[in-house]
Amino acid sequence: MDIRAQVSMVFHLDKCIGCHTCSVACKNVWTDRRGAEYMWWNNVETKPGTGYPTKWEDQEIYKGGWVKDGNSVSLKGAGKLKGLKNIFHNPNMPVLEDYYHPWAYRYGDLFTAPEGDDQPIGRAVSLITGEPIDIKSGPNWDDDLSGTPDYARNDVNFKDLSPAEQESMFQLEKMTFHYLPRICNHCLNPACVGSCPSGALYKRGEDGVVLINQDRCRAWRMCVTACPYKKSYYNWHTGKSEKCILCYPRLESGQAPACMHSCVGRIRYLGVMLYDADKIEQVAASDDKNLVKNHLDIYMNPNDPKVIEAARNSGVHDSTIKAAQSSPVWKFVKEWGIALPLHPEFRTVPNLFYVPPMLPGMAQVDGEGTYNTASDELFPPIDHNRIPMKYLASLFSAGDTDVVRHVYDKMMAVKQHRRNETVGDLPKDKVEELMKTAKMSADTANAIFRLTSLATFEERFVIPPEHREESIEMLEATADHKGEAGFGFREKPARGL
Amino acid sequence: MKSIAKRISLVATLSLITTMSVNAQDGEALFKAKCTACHSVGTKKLVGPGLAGISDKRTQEWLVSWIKDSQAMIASGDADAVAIFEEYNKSPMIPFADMSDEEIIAMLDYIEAENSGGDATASEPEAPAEPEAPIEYSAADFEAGKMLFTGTKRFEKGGPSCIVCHNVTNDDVMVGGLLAKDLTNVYERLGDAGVSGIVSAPPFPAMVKSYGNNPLNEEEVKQLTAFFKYADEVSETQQKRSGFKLIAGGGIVGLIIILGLVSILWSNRKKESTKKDIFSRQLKGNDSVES
Repeated sequence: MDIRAQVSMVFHLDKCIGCHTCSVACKNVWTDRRGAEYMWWNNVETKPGTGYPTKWEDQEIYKGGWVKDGNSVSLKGAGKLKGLKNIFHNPNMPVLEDYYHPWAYRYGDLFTAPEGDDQPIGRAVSLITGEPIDIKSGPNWDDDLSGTPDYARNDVNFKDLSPAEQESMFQLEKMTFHYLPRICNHCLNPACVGSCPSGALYKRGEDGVVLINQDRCRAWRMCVTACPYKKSYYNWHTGKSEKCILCYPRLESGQAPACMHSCVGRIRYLGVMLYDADKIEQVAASDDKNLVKNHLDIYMNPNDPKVIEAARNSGVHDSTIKAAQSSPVWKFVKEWGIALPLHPEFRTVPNLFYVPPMLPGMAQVDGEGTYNTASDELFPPIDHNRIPMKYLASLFSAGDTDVVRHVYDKMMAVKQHRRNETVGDLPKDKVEELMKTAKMSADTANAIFRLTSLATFEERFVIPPEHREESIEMLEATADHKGEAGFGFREKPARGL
Repeated sequence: MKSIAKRISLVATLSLITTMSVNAQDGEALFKAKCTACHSVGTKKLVGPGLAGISDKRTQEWLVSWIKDSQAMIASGDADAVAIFEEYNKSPMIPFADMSDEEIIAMLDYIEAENSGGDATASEPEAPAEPEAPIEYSAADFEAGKMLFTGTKRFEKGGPSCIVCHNVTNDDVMVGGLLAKDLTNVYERLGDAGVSGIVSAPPFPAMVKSYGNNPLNEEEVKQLTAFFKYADEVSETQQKRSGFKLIAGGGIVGLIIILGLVSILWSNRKKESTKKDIFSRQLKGNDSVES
C-alpha cells in the first residue's frame, strides 16, 4: 500500500446554472495573455453538444487517452515508437478552428468615428492577427442548444443510441439539456505526463496537481493530443503548452481555486482523497465493466487506522489526513456514492467527479401523441427521464447504465425523503420503498441534502495545509531565501523538472 | 620511489635530447617520406629534377626558403626560382611549410652524403646510359587498377579508394570526387615515375593523413599507374559527365518515394477541422441539414 494525497473535486451538475462565471474568473486570472486568448482552462459545455474543442470526446479524431494493452495500458496516440514517428509532426493535433478563432471588438471606433449619417460600429478583430474577421464560432457556440443541428446532434455520446432514440431527444416536448463544466482532471494516470518527450509535465507529490514546467517544455505538443479531455493547450506566443494549475498558488495559501470560489451555483466541492498508488496501473487496465468500480476502490478510507498508518509512512502530513477525513469529495464519491468520473473509459483515472444532473422527467408524450404534463406523481420515475440513461452512461460510467441508474435511485430517494420531511405530501410507503432500493438511511439522505444545498464555504472546500515548506526543504535551505520573493530548485529531482 | 623518479627523469632527458637533435638518419627518412615521389638523390629526372649536387648549385638559405614555399619565391621574382618554374612546365612544388630548418638541412646533408659516397659506385653513371624503357602494362593491370580506383576492390592495407576525392573522366568509371585534383591527364603530366612515385609515397598533406599508415603495395602502385595511363590515352574520346543527371534524377525519385511513404504512414492523420461541415453550412446555399 502506497498511500498518497490527491486534491480532488466534485461538480454537482444538478446545481449548475450555466452562467460561465467560473470560466470568466479563470480567464481573468490565468489566460488573459497573448497566445492564451483561445484557452479556456475552465469551460462550460452544454450537453448534448460537441463541446470545446469540437468533438473532444471522439478519440478516433484526436487519439487521446490510454487503451488497454494486456494487463497494462498504452497511450493511444503517443508512446515510444508512435511518439518517435510523429515527433516532428503530430498528426492528430486540434487546429485553432477546432477550438475557435479568438476575437475582440474595436470598441475605440465607437467613440472616435467622425460624425456621419451612419451609426459607428465596433468591428470584430482577430486577437491573433489583429485583422477584421467574420466570427464563425466560439468556445460555447452550442450554449443552451443553440445551433442544435450543428452541435447537439453531433454529440459523440450518441454513439450507443439508436437513431430513433436520438431523434426522440430532439422532439420539442422532450428537448432537454444540462451543463458540463470542465477543468483539468488532475488524473492519477495522466496521459499528458506519459506522452511528454521532454519530461516537462509532472504530478506534484504533496497534492497531485499536474503541472507543465515552462522551462522544460519543448513545444512537442504531445500532451495536447494525449490528454483525452483536451485540457492541455499550446500557447503560440510563448511556444509552450499550458494547462489548468488548479490555482495552486491559491491552494497553497488556503484559498479555493478561482473557478470554485466564484461559482454562483456553489456546485463545486474540493477536498483531499487518499489513494493507493500501487493500484493505479491495475485500475487503468480494468475491463470496461469494472472501470468505475475499480477506480472508486483506489481511494482509501481516511478513517481506517491501517490507511492512516500507511499514509504517515509515505510522508502524508497529519493535517492532510485530517483534511481527508472531512473531505466533501470523500462523502460524495465514496460514502454516498453519488458522484462519478467523466469518461472513465479514457483510463486516465480522473480526480474530478460529477453528480449527474436530475433532468426533468415530468412530461411524456402519451399513446395518442398528446404532450402530457399532468402526472399523478410529483416526481415521476427516473425511467421517464427525458434523456436516455445510455447517454448519461456514456458520459459517466463507460456505458454501464446500472452504475448511473444506481446513482439516480439514490438522488431520487433523497429528493422524495426530503419532500416527505418538509411537506409530507407523498405516500409514505412509496418513499420508504425508494429508500430501500437505494439502500439509504434517513440520516444519509439528510446529510446529502445538507451538503448539497446548505453547505458553508468551509464545508465545500476542505483545503489541506499544503506544507509547501516541507517540499521546499527537501531541495532548499529555506533560511537562505528568507525574505526573498520565491524559491528555485537548488538540486534538481533525479528525473529533472 | 626514489629510483622510479630517477628513471622517469632519465627517460625524460633522453627523449628531450633525441627530439632536439636531427641527425643524418632522419634526413634519409625525411627525404624518403617527403621527396622521393618527385625527386631522386641522383641526377635522374622524375617529376622534378634529380638533386645530386644541389647544395653546390644553390645556397642553403635559398634551398630552405624554396622548400618551405617555392611559390612565394616565384612571386617575389627570384630569377632562379622563376627559371626552374618555367623549365618544369609551371608545375608547382608542394610547399613544406611545416618542416623545420634543421630538418631541411638534415635532408640536404643526406643528399650530399649520398652523392659523395655514391660517386665510387656504379649507380650514377649508369643512369644516362639507361634508355627510358617504357614499362609494359597488361590488360589485367589496367582492370585491377580501375577496380582499385573506384573502390570495387579494396587496397590491401585498407587505404581509401581514389574516387572518394579524385575524378577521372572515363566512360567506365562513375563521376568521382571534386575535393582534389582531376586525374584524367595525370599520366601525361607526370609520366610513369611521377605517378607511381606519388602513389607510393604521397607528399600531399591530405594524402599523407590517408595513406601514411596504410601505404599501397608495389602491385597496387603498378596497377593504378596502368589505369592512369589508359585513362590518359583514351581521355579524348570519353564523355565528360558532371553527375547532375544522377543527382537530380535520384533526388526526384527519392522525393517521390519519401512522399509515398509519408502518405502511407500518416494516411489516417487528422486532415481537416472538426468544424468544417459547420463552417461550410454557414455559407449561403449550403444550409441543408442531413438526417
